[in-house]
Amino acid sequence: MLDEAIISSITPVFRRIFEDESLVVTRSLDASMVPSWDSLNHIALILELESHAGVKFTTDELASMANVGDLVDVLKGKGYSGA
Amino acid sequence: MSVELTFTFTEEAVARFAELVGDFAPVHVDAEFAQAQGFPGRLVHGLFVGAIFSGILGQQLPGPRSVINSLSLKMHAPVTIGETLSYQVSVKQVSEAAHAVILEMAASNGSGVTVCRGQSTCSFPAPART
Repeated sequence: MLDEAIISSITPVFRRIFEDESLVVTRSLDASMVPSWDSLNHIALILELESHAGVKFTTDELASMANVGDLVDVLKGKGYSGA
Repeated sequence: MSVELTFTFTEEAVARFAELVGDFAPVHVDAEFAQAQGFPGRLVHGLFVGAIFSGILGQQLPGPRSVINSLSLKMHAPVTIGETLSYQVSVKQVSEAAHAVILEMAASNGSGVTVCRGQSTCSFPAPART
């Protein structure tokens, strides 16, 4: 349930950054599955997620994230619930 | 953190910008045309007004090691040749993980009217490994 709430909360961020209103965000989603997920949009995504969730990622956390599932786990670890 | 800078759009500077980018639209080079359009005089190119931010971003904040990832500007009032604008760039958000900053940018004229406002994301690329 918590995963769903977080993914639901961050989905508009992904859709805005990658300019794809039909993008379906799941735990398995990664950069290879989104054509516009390039290095510049990755930076924009991190900035937007930090602002949206009110958190700060560390360099190690960022390096450890291979997909949305990893991101959700990091956000949960920071106490973010998607609310 | 913020920085400020003033810039005067002289006749010579505007002529050089027009030459550089090839924009000789009458509102920039024909005073009678500009006045007929309701402006007090010939207008500075909007992108020249915005270009001054490049010097601030690249030299002061965030500085020489940064690159511009994105930039958006909205023009709010015309700028005529001879005007001096006050530019301000301030930090809105910093992401140490992404090695990037979001900056807010604004420029105002001598009457205190904001003539353009925008936002830029700049990042700090890691040096290439050899």
